[in-house]
Amino acid sequence: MKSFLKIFEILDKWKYHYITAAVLLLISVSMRMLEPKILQIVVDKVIVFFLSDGKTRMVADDAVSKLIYNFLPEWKLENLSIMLIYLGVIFLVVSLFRGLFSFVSSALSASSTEKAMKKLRDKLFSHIQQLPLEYYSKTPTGELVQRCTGDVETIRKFSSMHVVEVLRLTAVFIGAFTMMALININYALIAVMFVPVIFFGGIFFFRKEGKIWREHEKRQDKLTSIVQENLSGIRVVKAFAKEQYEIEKFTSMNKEKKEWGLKLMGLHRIFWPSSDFFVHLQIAISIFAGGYFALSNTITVGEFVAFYSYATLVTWPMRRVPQLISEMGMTSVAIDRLYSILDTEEEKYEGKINGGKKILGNIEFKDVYFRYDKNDPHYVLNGASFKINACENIALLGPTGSGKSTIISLLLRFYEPENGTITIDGKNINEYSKTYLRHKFGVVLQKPFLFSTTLKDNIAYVQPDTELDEVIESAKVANIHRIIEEIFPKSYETVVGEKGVTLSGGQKQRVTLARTLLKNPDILVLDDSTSSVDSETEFEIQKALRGIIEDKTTIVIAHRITSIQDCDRIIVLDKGKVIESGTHEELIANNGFYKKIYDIQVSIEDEINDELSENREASNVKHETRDSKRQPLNGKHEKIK
Amino acid sequence: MSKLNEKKFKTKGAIIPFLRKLFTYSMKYPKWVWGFTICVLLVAVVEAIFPIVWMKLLDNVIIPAVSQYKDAYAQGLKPELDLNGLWNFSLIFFAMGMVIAAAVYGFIGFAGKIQENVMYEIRQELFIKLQELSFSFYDKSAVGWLLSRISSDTVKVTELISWGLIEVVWGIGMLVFCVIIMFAYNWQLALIVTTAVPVLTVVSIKIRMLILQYSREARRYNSEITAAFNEHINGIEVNKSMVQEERVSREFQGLSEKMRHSSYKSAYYSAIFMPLVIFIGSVAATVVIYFGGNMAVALPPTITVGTLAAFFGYATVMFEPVLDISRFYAQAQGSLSAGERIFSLLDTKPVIYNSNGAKDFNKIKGDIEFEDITFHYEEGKKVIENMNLKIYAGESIALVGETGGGKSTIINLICRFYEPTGGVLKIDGLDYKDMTMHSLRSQLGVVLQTPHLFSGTVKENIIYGRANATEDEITEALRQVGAEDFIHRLDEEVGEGGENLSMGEKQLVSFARAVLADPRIFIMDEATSSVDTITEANIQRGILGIMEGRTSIIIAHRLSTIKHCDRILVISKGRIMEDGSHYDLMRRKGMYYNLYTRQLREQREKEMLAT
Repeated sequence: MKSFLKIFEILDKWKYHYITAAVLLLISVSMRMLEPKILQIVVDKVIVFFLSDGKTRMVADDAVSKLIYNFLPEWKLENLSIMLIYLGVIFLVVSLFRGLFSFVSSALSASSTEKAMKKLRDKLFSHIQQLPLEYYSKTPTGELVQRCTGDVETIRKFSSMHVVEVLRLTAVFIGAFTMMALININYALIAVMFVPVIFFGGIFFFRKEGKIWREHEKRQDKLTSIVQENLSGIRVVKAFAKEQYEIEKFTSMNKEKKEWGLKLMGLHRIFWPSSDFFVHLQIAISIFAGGYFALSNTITVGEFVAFYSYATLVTWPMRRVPQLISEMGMTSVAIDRLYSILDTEEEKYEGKINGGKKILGNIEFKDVYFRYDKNDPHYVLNGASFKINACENIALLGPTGSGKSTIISLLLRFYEPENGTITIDGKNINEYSKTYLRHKFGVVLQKPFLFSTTLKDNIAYVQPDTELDEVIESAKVANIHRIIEEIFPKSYETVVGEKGVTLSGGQKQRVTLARTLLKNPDILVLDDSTSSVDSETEFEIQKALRGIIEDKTTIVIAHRITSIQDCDRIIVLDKGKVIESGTHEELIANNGFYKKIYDIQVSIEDEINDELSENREASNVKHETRDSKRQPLNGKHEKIK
Repeated sequence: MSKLNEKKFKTKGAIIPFLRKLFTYSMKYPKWVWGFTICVLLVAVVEAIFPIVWMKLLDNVIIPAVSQYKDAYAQGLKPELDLNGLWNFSLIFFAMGMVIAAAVYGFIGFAGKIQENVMYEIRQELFIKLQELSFSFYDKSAVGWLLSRISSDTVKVTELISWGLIEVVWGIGMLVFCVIIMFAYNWQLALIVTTAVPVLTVVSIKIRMLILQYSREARRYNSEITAAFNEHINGIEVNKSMVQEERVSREFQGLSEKMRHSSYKSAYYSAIFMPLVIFIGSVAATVVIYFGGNMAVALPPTITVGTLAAFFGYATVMFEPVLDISRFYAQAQGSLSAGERIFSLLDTKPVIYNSNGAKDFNKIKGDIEFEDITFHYEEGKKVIENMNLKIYAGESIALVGETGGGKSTIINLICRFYEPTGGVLKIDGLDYKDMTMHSLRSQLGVVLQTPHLFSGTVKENIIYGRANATEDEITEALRQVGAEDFIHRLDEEVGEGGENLSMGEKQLVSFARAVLADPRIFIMDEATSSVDTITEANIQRGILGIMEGRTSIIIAHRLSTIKHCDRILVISKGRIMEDGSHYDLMRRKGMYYNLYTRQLREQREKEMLAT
């Protein structure tokens, strides 16, 4: 219940509109209640009055009639037409206002709901963007997306439909009952005799129906996942010629889904006619009782006619309410889940140093300890200390898990070190505002991520209004310009992911590189960002980068030694610590880990030469036996070449 | 590509043929369709005569009795209460209620059965069609797009011919019966009420179409919003490292504003809809009160009080059938595109199919011959041109070369996933286009680059190609591919798409799956690139065994894997550049030599850095 009340918090400043809508709705329902009353007056008073030649004088016998009487002309025989016109106009005016109020009420509740939902969506979106990365590592993306779309939709339905409908139906029920009670309380009670049966029967039914429905949905989901699995593995299916088997698998699930569908239908087939039965039984009883009261002159014919209308109004809503109630059950869960996202604290961006001059890039790690999980005994950075001087080109090298990428994360303040200090240009990194800091860094991440917009917008991500010339400039450095122009149908306007446009891993990496370069950062960080690019292209990129990085601090994480040999300094990491550092030559002389990797090149050449000479004899023998067989083929080959 | 496909369906006025096509499905159950129609019409009839019975009750029982009572009272007599008439009428009301309840029971059953069965059938047809379609179709169609054809479009369409149909049949029935009854009683008043119907129809269809338009728009924005959430949650690291959180949030607000606008518009027209329609009914009712009232008090009265009440009743319920008919119309419009997507998918012809009189391959020996083969995926972009190649039974062949050079295409052609656009491909000397696909593929063992497993146990996945394999054979297959670990893990669930296993484990299972099928031709497409070095070493051992006694064709990213093949073909730009054993080619110091040495170095480096 507490979470239901949070809806007012979500409705924000529009809750007053929403409450106004509710009031207007009640007025509209009250108007509706007047309509049968008018018919009653026509039957009881007007017709009787004129048929009896004005002998029977008519007195208003309840408050509502009195109210309507005020608007009627004098009860005179010659006034028949006027009387009818007046009544017609009153009826029309009542109906018009009823419609008008109902329209304004619905429009108002819709507009306040939609405005509140827009605000909720915006709030969620920007809140999620501001959450620390830590949060993301704990929450699966799919679930987060589902919260922000599905749960918002549930709340929207609750506010714009369920609440409104329940309110309306309840008001109709109370209104019609009151009107009946005004005529005759006994009769009113008889007319709602079976309403509890209909209502609680409905509640009971929808509880049961919910269970079957969920089972049915489960089958439906299973069927979908069978199809999904089949389609994503269609090449395997075809390769093994297992189409028939797959069809059988699908068929059996499809049948099961059908069975559950029929079961669900069977349940509805019992409920709706039974509730129809009670509704009609109730109406028949009301008619009988009303007739009895009319015959025994307890009520008039007109009252009986009006009564019949009210009796119908009172029974039907009670069929709908249980369904609505069962649908509303989801809302409190949805609200709770959204609040658990909204209540998570956002990342703090502020810092003392917030703008101003260029960051030079004197970076120092002093005894830095860090782990992603406080319960993990193993530290990812285990007392790492090193220094990077301004404008240096630094390479980080080390086995997987040695902490290379973590260093980058800490530099960007995605995480805070547990112990030790990191300084940039002599100031503790905590003093920098995150916004400023990240603006100054240009990072190409390990996993290239492109947005599904045009290639141009992807490259000009930071500044969408960048001129195409500049975009092309960075694309050229990243060695992707030619590919974009030649391969992609609409060149820079090609939308990533649309119409089957896919980029290979290497192409993606190059686009992200261009994106970072365009930002023109003070410090450039390349996190294994050319791993999927072939060596020649990588060489080209390096050549093009050389001019750019000369006066910039650059940090490169790489796994190919050939690509980092020219760096000013190479820092070798292992198990979260720096084990070696120096220029290529120094490290070779040091005869450590780096040297070992470097030696591979030499050893391979030797190895191959050995292998070839060893196998010369053997392979010669093997091939002679085959040569006769191969003759015709070789001939054809010549032709091709 | 999905958008391209959809474009051609945007034809207007296709609603009649669409409905006709849809009805051929429900007409497979004529009994249910008739039962359904009769039940719904029964409900309509009873509801249409309700006001008349009500009128009779007032005129024949209540009013006479009341005036009798009054007369008697005026004469000072104690009036007698005669409840017989009332009792009978109450029974009639109750009986009508029973008929309605029974008919509702009937039509829910029939409609439900029609829906479930037609849904079952359409899904069945779609799925079977999807199994027939060729690789070229799947290259162009996203899985998600196809998935929603089967899951959501079928629901939409079948709802139309079941629950949607109830509304339209009821609506038309109710309308016709009401009009007939009204004219039978009083044509003047009937005319007044009937005049309202066309007005109601025009107004409701107009507004319904507006609602449909905006709700469609809202749905489109809604999926854009979902995509935006998805994208910017997945790309959070980029946003954070580029400090774009605020900008993308601002941009999102533009989208959510569009969503708000169309949602609101749709709600706005819904809000105006009912009051407007009811008001039109009220206008009719008012006119009825005026004329009917005059008629009732004329001397002599031309209509009774009951008739007046009945016509008042008709005037106020007339909007309901119109409402239902217009709802059906809007629903049909709304599911038109879903239906057309379904039917156009069903009409898609597979590009590769068994020709007439295709024969089965006997046990394949394994000779493969490319005779002057040309191939392109897209018109004008030849991938392979005039390729001639002969592979002898029992040979092991490796294909190497840069990505996009045509290695995978050669494999695709051999598997007949695609057919050559020119030239002839012979297996055991027979043009495979004259043979059945099934007899070829059931003798192939293919391991693809990204292993795909089906949910189920490890065992179920391994025996995918040979359901009747014995326990021993499974064990043997696992040994052969160096996956002994799995011998004790056969009953483990692999999860959807094999998510419970690591990439390397999945690949091992898919190897075992291929081996167990005891294929005559074994094909491996970059299958070890997603496997770690230790696993690769394991597989390496197995591969030698697999290649024994059958033709095998291997594409490997890591050249160390294929060193021992009988022949290595270096493929570049759709041509065979070098052909020979590892040693031949190494000695030649050509393309292969360069590739091999560079790769070995990189691999060693990686290995060192990975430990």
